[in-house]
Amino acid sequence: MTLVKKSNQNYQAFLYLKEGHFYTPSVHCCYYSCFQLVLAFLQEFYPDDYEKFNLDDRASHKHQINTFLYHYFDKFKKENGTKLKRAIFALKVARKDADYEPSELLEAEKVIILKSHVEQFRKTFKQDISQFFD
Amino acid sequence: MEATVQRFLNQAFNQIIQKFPNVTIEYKFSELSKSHIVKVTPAKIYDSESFLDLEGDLYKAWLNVETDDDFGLVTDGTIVDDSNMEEIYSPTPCKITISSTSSYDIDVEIFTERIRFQEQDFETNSESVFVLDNIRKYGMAA
Repeated sequence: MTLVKKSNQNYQAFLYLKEGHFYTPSVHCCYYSCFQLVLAFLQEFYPDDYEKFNLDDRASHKHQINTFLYHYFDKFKKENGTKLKRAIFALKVARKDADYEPSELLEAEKVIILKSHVEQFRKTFKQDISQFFD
Repeated sequence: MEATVQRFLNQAFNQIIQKFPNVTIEYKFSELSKSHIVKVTPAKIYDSESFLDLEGDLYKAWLNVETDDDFGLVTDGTIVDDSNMEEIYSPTPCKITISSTSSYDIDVEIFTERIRFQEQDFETNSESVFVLDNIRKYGMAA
């Protein structure tokens, strides 16, 4: 479960960056903490899809996330799939802005929302797939 | 915008409005993240179980739209940049119809709720008088 460990480390990195007031780079860690769980899910339960994305140079995060959601909605409650989508969509858009947009640095109050998204994602994911976190 | 995406968005807006006529819907496309961002307010509707349920249906339907774009729903206080959004829909403003049975019977239609204020309300219910005064002040009487 290397991807899960990487996800956990990215979450811890977010907390350290937040403590150090490095809010803009912390967005990156939040997003990847969630995205790595997406990959871990595909690797564990849908290895053919996971391998297909690994071999396809054109594979985008959007396709991997959509494949994850397609299977997640099928396997678990719609409500949980929706909560995961909400969180990862917001983090994905925010990550692009944080990494590439020549805008102002992220404010401290926005980090609270960032934290709520990543924690909602991890909490919901853990509800359905607790074995990843044992 | 691709025709299928436009069709999906129009259907999504209509479904939201049908079920939640009191919301305001705003929209923008983020070129950087190639994402269709739909903002729904107030947050108390967005945070409701019934909205979450509809949102899930929209996300499942989106998975069948052939596009490289992404789509998501947000509300007030989002981490997503919600500046420069286009207003797609806002609820019908309050209107008043004055009953002919009595000059003090006033029906106030606020969004989808109809409240009748009667003569006795104006003397005993200060909140009713406040509402009536504000309606007169903004010149919204029919």
